[in-house]
Amino acid sequence: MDRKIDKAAVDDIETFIYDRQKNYGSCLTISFTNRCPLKCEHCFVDALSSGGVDMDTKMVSNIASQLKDLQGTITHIGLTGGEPFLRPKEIKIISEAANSMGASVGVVSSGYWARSKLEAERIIEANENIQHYNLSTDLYHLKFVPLTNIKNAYEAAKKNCKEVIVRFTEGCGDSEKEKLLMEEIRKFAGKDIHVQSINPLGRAAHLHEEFHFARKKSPIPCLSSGPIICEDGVVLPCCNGLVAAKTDHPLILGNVAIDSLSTIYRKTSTNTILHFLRLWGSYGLYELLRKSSLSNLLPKKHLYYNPCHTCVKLFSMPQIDEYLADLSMDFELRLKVASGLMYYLKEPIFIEELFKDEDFKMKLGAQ
Amino acid sequence: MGVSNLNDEQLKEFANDPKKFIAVKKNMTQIIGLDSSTKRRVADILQYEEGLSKAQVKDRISKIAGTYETVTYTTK
Repeated sequence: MDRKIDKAAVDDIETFIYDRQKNYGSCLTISFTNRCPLKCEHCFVDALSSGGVDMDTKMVSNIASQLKDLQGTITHIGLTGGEPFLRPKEIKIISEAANSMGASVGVVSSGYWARSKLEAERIIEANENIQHYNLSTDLYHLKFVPLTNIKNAYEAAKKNCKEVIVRFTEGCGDSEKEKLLMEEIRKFAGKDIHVQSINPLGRAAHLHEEFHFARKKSPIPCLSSGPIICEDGVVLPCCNGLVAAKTDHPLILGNVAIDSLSTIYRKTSTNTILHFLRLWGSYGLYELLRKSSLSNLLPKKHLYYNPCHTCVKLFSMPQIDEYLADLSMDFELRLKVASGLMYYLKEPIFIEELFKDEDFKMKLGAQ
Repeated sequence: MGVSNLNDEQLKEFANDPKKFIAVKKNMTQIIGLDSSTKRRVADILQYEEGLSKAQVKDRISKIAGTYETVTYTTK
């Protein structure tokens, strides 16, 4: 890393990253179900066509009634799964509550319901409180849902003045077919396309695709814009691969069946490990662990350009989870993270909370 | 590095007004340490993959952030 680089470019990227990191928690994602009528091979959520877990409707109503307590903090609610449209009643409960407190609502769906133009329009008109549609398609989704569904849903959403993005997952083996599919999507969606890569986690961990692993770790910090409430009420800090880590790790922020949403948000603002990741990424966490007695457990290779995969790998190891749970209470580390949050991300809550704590002040005085 | 390296005067300043104290880069550096685990690696991001323009780096970052921005590059 000794090539001379332009300071202005570094500042520009720092600002770009800051813009994505500020206001953590402004987006709250909710998964009503991990059921899905599809069974895509690359699904990192490991969504199931039968069985699976549904969020209790009472829990959905409880979350809806608590949203107003976080008015101004939460500005966007994302609905995901599984397939959210398997729970139309629950979509209505949350989206009405969200809109009434000024938050927009987006949904991620395979568009399986948009079998005809008329049906697509009927569903979108029935969901007037949804403002954003994310329609997932790629070579794996196409085995279950034809592209005409995506086109129907896209056009019906546009007709109803909704924002629409086609979410396209690349890396599904045949790059020529992928290019052709992308050209087909461009014909109706233009630039309303968001490309993402396969995360080899969950069911995707068993794919035969060749993933690009390298020795170097991605230096990008955690870019999550807010937590996800999973179908069992567990709250995790992002809707990415951590959903696939089935361990009891220190990034579990709470459970809405036990604590109120605002309590979970308040506790989250002082979660040492989460904010460590936001500041210094899985790269930094790896370096921290490298200096510990657990260095022999660390993965030797990392998914190219993908800090989330390294993060999930680390939190999938119970010994590391236990070590980090202890470390998260360390005086020195808490102070570093609280200071970093204040300096880099202009977030004062953590440091304010630390200085309210008499034990902390005593320890500081003893230094 | 760390808070143990602050002198009495600095500790007093820190305790009196932590936000003001941290806003000074030298103080922040002293507390955080900026070692291999606590360094913002923005320059490294620009150099992670050779030959990428700044716009391409931003596209890569957006891809990870899962933001709703449109992208203009083709797959792979």
